[in-house]
This record gives sequence, C-alpha cells and structure tokens, in this order.
Amino acid sequence: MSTLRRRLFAKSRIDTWFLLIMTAVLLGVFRIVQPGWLNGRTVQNLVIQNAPLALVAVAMTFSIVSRHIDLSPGSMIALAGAVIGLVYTAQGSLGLALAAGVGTALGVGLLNGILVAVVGLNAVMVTLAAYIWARGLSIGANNGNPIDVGGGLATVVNASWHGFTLTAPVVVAAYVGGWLLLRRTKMGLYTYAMGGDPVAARRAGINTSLYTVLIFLLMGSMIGVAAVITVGQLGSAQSTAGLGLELDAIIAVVIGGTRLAGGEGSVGRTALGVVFLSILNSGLLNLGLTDDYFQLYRGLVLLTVLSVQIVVRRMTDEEERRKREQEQLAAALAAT
Amino acid sequence: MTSNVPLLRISGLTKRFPGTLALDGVDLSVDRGRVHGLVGENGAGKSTLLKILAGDYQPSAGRIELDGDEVHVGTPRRAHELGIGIVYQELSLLTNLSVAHNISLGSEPTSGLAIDERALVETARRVLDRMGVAIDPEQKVGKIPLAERQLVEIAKVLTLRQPRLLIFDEPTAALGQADVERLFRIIEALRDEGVAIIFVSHRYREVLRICDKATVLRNGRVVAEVACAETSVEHLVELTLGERVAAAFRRQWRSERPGEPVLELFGLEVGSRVRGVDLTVRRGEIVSICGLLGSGQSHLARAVAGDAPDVAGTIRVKGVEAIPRSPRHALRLGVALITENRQEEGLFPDMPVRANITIASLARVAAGRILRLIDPRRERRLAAEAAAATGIAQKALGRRVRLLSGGNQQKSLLARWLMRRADVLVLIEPTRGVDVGAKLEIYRELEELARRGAGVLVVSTDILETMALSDRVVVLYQGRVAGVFDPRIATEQDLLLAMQGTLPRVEAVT
Amino acid sequence: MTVGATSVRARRAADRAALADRARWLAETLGIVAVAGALVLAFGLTSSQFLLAENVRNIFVQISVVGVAAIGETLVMLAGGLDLSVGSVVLLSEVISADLTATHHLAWPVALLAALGAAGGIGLLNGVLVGVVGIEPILATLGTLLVAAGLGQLILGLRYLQVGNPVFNDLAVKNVLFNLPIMVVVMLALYALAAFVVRMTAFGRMVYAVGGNRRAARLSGLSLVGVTVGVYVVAGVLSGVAGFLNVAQTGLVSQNDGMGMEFQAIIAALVGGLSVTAGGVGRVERTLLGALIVGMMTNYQTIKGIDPSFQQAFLGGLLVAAILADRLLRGRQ
Repeated sequence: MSTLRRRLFAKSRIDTWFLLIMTAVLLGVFRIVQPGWLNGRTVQNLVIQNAPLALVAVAMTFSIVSRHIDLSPGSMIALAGAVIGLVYTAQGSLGLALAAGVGTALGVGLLNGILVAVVGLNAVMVTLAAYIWARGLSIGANNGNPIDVGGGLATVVNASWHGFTLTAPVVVAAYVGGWLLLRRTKMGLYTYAMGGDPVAARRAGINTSLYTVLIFLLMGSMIGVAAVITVGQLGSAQSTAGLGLELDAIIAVVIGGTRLAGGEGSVGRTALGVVFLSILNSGLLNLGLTDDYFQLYRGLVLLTVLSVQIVVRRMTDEEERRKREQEQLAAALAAT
Repeated sequence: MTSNVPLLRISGLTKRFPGTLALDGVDLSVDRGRVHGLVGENGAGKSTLLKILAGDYQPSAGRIELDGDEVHVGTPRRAHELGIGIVYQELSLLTNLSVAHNISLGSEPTSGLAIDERALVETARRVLDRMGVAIDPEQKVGKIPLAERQLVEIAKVLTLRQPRLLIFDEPTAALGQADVERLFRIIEALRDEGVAIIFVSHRYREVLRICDKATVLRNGRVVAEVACAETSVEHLVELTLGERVAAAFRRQWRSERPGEPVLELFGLEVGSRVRGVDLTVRRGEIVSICGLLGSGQSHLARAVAGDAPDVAGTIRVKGVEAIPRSPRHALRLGVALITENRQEEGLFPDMPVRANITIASLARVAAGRILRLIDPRRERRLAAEAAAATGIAQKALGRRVRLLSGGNQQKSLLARWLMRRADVLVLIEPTRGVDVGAKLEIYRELEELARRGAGVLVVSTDILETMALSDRVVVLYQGRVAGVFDPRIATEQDLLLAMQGTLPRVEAVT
Repeated sequence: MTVGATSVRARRAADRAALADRARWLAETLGIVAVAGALVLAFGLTSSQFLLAENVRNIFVQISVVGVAAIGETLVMLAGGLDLSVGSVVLLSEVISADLTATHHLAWPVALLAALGAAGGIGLLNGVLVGVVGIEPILATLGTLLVAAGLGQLILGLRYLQVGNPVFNDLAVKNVLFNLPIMVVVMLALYALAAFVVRMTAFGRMVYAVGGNRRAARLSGLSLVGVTVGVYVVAGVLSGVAGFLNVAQTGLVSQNDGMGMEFQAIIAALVGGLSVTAGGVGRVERTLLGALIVGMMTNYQTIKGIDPSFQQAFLGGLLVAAILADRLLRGRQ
C-alpha cells in the first residue's frame, strides 16, 4: 500500500496533481458564474465538439515525445474534408469519398514524414508549410464555400444513443489504442528513445527514419478520422475546418505535462490536457463571451498554467537533483 | 581452417574529414579468443577506428574482413547483425528509459505486437547476474550512478545474439578497483568463449594485464604492434608519444618570487563531487589538477568559473570573497573558463575567428553607453594583437572558426580570454583533440599568459602534460586533495599512485 | 613553431577550405539575387503588366507591412527563437492607432507612440516568458498571440473601424522617393537601420552569438536574458510600426487583420536565406530580398488571375523549397 501511496504522491506527479486541481478550479469557477452549466446535454456537446481535438492530441503526443512537432493537423483536416466533398460531388459514392479523404490525410502525413525523417528537414518548418499549403488548397477547392456531402454521413455521425454519439467510443478507442501503442509496443518505446537521445537511439540500431515516418502516418490516420467526424457533424466540408486545432492539440499535450523537449510523456497526461482545454474552451464559450474576451482569457489562463508548470518543474527538478547528489555523497562516504 | 584466419582483419583503413586525415592506412588483425589492446593519445585516431567498426562512420578507403569475408559496416544495425558490439566511452544510454529497456534496445522480445516486458526484464536480470552485478533492471537509468551506468552499457553488448567482436572503449574510466576486477573477469570469460576483443584504454597497466597484443596509434597511423607480455608501461608511453612531446616541452620561464594569490579556495565543496578542497593559485603560476575520471576536477573547475550548482565553502578571487553564481559573475570577478567541449561550449562556429575572439570583450571594442557601436578598426587591431600573442595566423582572422583545426580553435579561445585580460584562466583538457605541433604552442602560450600575470589552473588527465607544464600539480581523489607535488621533484609514478588513492612516498611543499 | 612538410600541406589545405567556404557563401548570396533576377526576367517576359512602373510600385507597397514585421521576426529567429504573436500585435497596433486617431481625434504621433508602447509591451511579455520564465517560444508567443488578439478585438469592439483622416492616410500614400510612398521608404530605412545595428553594434553581435551557440554565449559572459528580452521587444515594436503603416494605408481596421502575418514573415526570412539548421546564420537585409521574392510571386499570380487560395498553397510549397535549399547548403546539424 505504501508503494502505491509513494507513487501517487511522487514529485513527478506534481504536474498531474496541479492540472487536476486547475481543472477542478475551472469547473468550480464556471459553475459559480453559470450554474447548471454542466448537464448531460452540455457534456455530450463537449465530447462532440472536441472529438477532433482529442484525436489529433493522441497523435500529437507521439510527435512531441519523439522531439518533433506537427503544425499541420488543422489544415489537413480541412483538406481531407474538401477531398471528401469533391469526390462525393463527383462520384456520388460516400464510401469512395471517405476513402479518398482518409487516403489524402495519410498521404500528407507520409509526405511530411519523409521530408522530416529521410530528407532531414526541420519538422516545425515542414509542417508549417503544410499548414499553409493545405489550407490554401482546401479554400481553393470550392472558393471558400462549403461542399455538401449529403445527409447520409451526418445522420451516422450525429446519431445519438442514450445521449452519446458514435464519436465518444471512437475517441475512447483511439486513446486506449494510443496508450497501448506508446506503452507496450516497440514503436512506443522507440518514440521515447528517439525523443530522449536521437544519437543513442540510432546507435542502438533503431531505424529512426522508419519510426519517425510511422509517427507522421499515425497523425495522418487520426486526421482522417477527425476529418470524417468534422464533415459529418455539419454535413458539409468547410474551408475553415480545424482552424487553430493544431495549436490547441499542442497546448493540450504540453499542459498535460509532456515536455516539448521530448523523451517523456504519456497518452494519459494528454487525455487530462484535452479535458482541461475542452472545459476551458466550452466553459468560456458558454459564458457567452465575445471573441475578444474569449481569446484574452484563454491566452491568460494558458500562459499562467504554463508558467506555473515551468516554475514548479524547475523546483522539483532541483530538489531531485539535490537528493541524488546526497545519495551519491553518502555512497561515496560509505565506500571510503 | 578456422583457427588460421583472424576474426577481424583491417587493411589500409583510411578516413578523411574536411581538414584532417583521421586514419591513414591502418592495418590491424585480431584473432578469436584474444584480447587486443588499442592505445594512443587523444586525437590519434582510436575513436574514429572504433566508430567505423561500429557502423557510425564510413571509411574513405580500406578493407574490413570478418572471418575472411569482406564486410561493409554501414549502420549500427548492420554492426549488430555482424556480431560487432561496442561499449562506448561516452555512454549512449537513454536516461529516460529503464535499465532493462536499455539493455535490449533495438532487439526487444515481442509477443505479438506488444513488447514482452517480462521477458525483457528476465533477459536483463540474467545478463546482470552473469556479470555479478546487482542493479534493479526496472530502475530508470537516469537515476543510477555513473559507475553502474557503465556496467549497464557493458550488459547491453553482452546481449548480442552472436557476439564475434566486442570493443571496449575506456571501460574502466569511472570504475573503482573492485568493479575493474569484475570487468576483467567478464572479459576473460568472453575471451575463453572465443570472442575477439578490442580493449582501448589510457591505463597502460590495465592494457598490459588483460591484452595479448596491443597496437599503438599515433596521428592516425599504426606505429607499432607489441606483445603485451614483453612490454612495459614506459615503452608504451614512449611509443604513444613519439618524440615525447610533453617531455620536449620545457618551461622557459618561471616566476622568481611567488606572486600575490589570485585564486584561493578553502574547504570548497561542490555537491557530492568535491568534498573540501584547499587550493591557492598565485599570479604567474600554472597549477594543474589531476585525477581519475570522476575525482571531481571538472566540477571544481566549473565551480570556480560559476558554472556549477551546489557550491559551498570559500572562494576568493583577487582578495574578493564570493561564490560565482554564473559565468558572467565569474568574469566580473576575473575568472574565465575554457571547457573540454570547445564545439558545444566555446566556439561560435559560423562567426569569424575575429568575432570569436572579441565576443567576451565587446566593452573594449564598442563605444558609447546606449548605442555601443563597434569600432571595426579597433576590433581588428585588438583581435590581431590577441591572435599574434596566441600564434594564430593573421589571415585566419576573417575565416569562420569552424574551418580551423582543433589546435587553432583552441588558440582562438585562449585569445578570447587574453583579450579579456582574465586574471584567472581555468582550462579543462586544453589539448584534447589537438595535434602535436599545436600542443606545444598552446603550452607555450599558457606559459606566456602566466608570465603576463595571470594565474592558470589546468585540469588534465594527461600526467606527462601536467608535469611538463605546471609549477605545481594537485592530485584529487574522490573529491579531496590526495597530494600536492612539485613536478621537478616528484615522478609520474608518485602522481599515478596518488590518483589511485594510495599515499605517495614523496610529498612536496605547497 | 614546427615547420615541416605536413605543416605546410595542412596550411595549404586550410587555405583551400577557407576559399571554398567564401565561395559557397558568395554563391549563396548571389544565388538568392539570381533567383530574384530570374523571377523578374521570367515574370517580365510572360506578362506585359509586370514591369510597369505602377505595378512595381504596387509590389513595394504590398510588401511594406509584412516587410517591416519580418525584420523583427528575423532578429528573433537569429537569436534562436520564434515569434508567433506578430500578427496579433499588428492588429493591436492597428486598433490603437485607428482608435486614437479616429475616435479620440488625437494627433497621429501620439497614436503612433501609444501603439508602439502597447506593441513593445507585448514584446516585453514575450521576452520575459521566454527569457526569464523559460517557456518555449512556440508556446509563449502562442499565448501572447491570444492575449494581444483578444485585447485588440476588445478595443475594436465593432466589426471594423474606419479612419478617414487625410494626414494619416498621406503618411502611407504620399509619394516621396522615386514615386514610392512614405511607407515604402520607412520600410527600406528600417531595413538599413536594422542591418546596421545587427552588424555594427554590440547588441547585434550578441544576437548572433546567442543564436549561434547558447552555451558558449553564456560562458563568454553574455546576458542571455538581456538578449532574449531585447529581441522580442524589438520584434514587438516593429510589429507595432507595421500595424500603424497598415492602418494608415488602408484607412480601415477589421477583425481579422494581421492574421497569419507571422508565417509570411517567417517565410520571407527563410527565403532570404535565414538558416534553420545552423543557428545564428543569416542577414537581416536578405529578408528584404525574401519579402521581395514572395511579393513578386504573389503579384504575378494575382495578375495572372490565380485564385488567392492557390497562391497560398504555392506559398507553402515555397517554404518547403526554402528549407530544402537550406538543408542542402548547410547539411544536417
């Protein structure tokens, strides 16, 4: 029992505790300002609205743990959506359209992965470029107008059963799958290895190029699913879909406690981050704030949380280091 | 048929880098079931040779044969497949993963898609038991001490499926005596199993003890191959150094009267590494600090220059008592630092040499309080002066410093602090990766700096270098002063014994 | 000093290497100029409109706002950082300038000062978050992006704000030099000033040092905090200038102004030769060239009637080309 207690309250868990406390505070504040806000309906909406974010965040965890980053998800969702719309309009087959959309997402993911892993370009810049060109293409697909995909998809995606749509199990499946992948498989282990020390990883014989490409492909697959959900929710492909999503995903991962420097993190932490962010976004929106206050408060909360996180982290790192020094000193003394 | 063909045969191996020839036609052969030593000073080409065998580098020319078949070791993975394992000097463990993960990295046991964690831990436990080491395989590597990490590095190599050739690069650097014995037993066991082993070390006593034969490298070439049973440490030293470089250096100037103390340490403690050191450096003096890796020298040096945490005790610079909180603070007090990593911590690779020299003295080349405009003529003049004093060719001043040789790069750093007029110059491994000719020049420049009134503190693992260069040699052992020697009286053996923790016969006055 | 056969050989090899290095650097600079020249040629030949004086003037006017903002972004990137809040700061500055001039009828210098103060304030916040607190630049400037945008839109209140002040407008539009309006001249002057500061002042030298090798800069006694805060403040102020110029020219502030400008600035810097593989490598004045190249391409595409969204797609491709070139030139770091 004491080991469990020690592990729960370990210094490394301070991040998680802090986030949990912040989430509780947020909930509390929102409840006070707008009582009755959190009911079955709103929770359902919360899940639906933030499903794409949740999916992208899982894949973003892998990217960040491996010491890369991906700025393209939002634009890629819009592009995949546009492809779905165009193929549906041209061919009339929803199945074909969805396949094309997912294929596009995977294709862009593969392209990004090859540019980063094989050619050796900087991930920030490559994905930034995709952020730009994918958005351009999706706007150009129909001059900025939404592309209708018919009611079929919308019915499926929005179908509700006891208050839950299909998106909830999809998200849960993605998180369970992502957690297993990161914790239990070679790909997950190598993700940590590449993020922790790329040189040592290469030296150990790990094919870092292959696994980096796989991580980008993972992002592609998550984007494919997210695009289907996004298009399904409105029944049409919007050129503004996913705007700002990638940044939200990065924030969710980082606020969950994963460091941008790579080498550590977990899907569980990202889940916490997504929950926090979803509550923040939805809660602020629900307050009926105008765009300006919404952005302002969001920015301030995020900066505050990030700052406190860093300060707390620095203190615990310092303490851990000192403790290790003491242990080594004791060991050295014992040896003499 | 098998016993006549050596396991490893290298012929004419050459490796060129832009600006240097690291290996020049090296021949080497190692039989199975034999331990072959590889010695040479820093920069002689040892690590390049090893990296080629391990798949990190590609040779520019030459042939590598394993059991008679020519092989191209292009990647670390290929090296693993060929049965070549290497234990690196700079540990390549992943601190964010566990011991068991590190040991099986790259070849994890799987059950279906997932990694079989239990089998992983089992493998690790088995290997560690075989080595006679008690380390918890599930512990994160980042949390275990350095000596244990080195053992994990070795365990990594022992999990190779079919080890044919194992390379140990300075494996005993951070080990205590008991651990060294244990390592030797492991190596002997491997040898008896028919594995071919290459053992690289600066500790010649160990090389002669464990190896059958040894190859001496100098400047990228094979200088000799000796039978260890018939050689002595002195002979190896002579072969390694060639013209006895350090011995060729003689002080031309020594301070007649002891200058005023410019750096004083009383009871200095740095974390768990330095545990109560008293030391005084006077103007015009060159004091060296020697010790085995891990004895605390680097930490002491960095603490004095404001680059170490957990510093306690007393530090006095030019009579002012203060513990430098940052390199900036240390520089204000008058202490400058040149570390052993000039690439990562010293040079600005894409800036010209001139700018590298003047970067720490911008106040002297820039005028005006607000605008701080750099006066190009003044900058050129002062940089040229500093360059001339440190033996850097004038025409090199406009070039990007990344193009310079190791020796000239090191001189640029010296010029930087010369221009800054540092009162105390602390150097860690000043001639690492520097060619022979430049080494002599650097020694001469350090002497010149001392003559001009600076106090010079050198941390070095090269005993001959320190003895030739210094006025005094301080030996650290486990964070404490084990002895202070006058190099004109004491012998290399005295220093070596003190470094090992055994009290020396002769001790000189401070 | 030992002078032997190897020593002479080594020295000759070093001389050759230095020459090759110089040649490569020259080729790189000329390369960008050559690309620009080739574009001028290609565009001029394939479009009768492109080289008209009126069109050339247009190009310069169009790149002025981003051009000024790109100076700051270049400085931040040279020091090893990144500033994603540029667009929002531009918006904030526009709003303050417009509001003080149109609604409160203050003289434009007052408005300018206020706008620059606010912009500099955001820059200071960036600098503190990155340099003192230690948050990664991407995250920190993302946060300030939201704060600045929020503030800007808060002050704006309405959907858009019109400034009908002729003096204000003249600032941007009145032709001064070679038929170029003031705003273009301001941009060129700022580039000249920035190039000078970066090359000839201690601060500029420190920026290159911090970007080139952070640890070495620390050990050389440079103040990392000072340099970091400094570049972000400068970037903020320059974004402020860009915003002022923009609203002076268009006479209109709308909610979405400035959005994405940071990316345009980054692209201008990268096309101009700023390196992402090697820190602290690049020149401010080359960003101007980068901005011109991007501007010419955009202008040409508009003349040819290419859809703006496809122009954007092309821009993304251009970014890939720029970093590809950087990688080929400078190798894996």
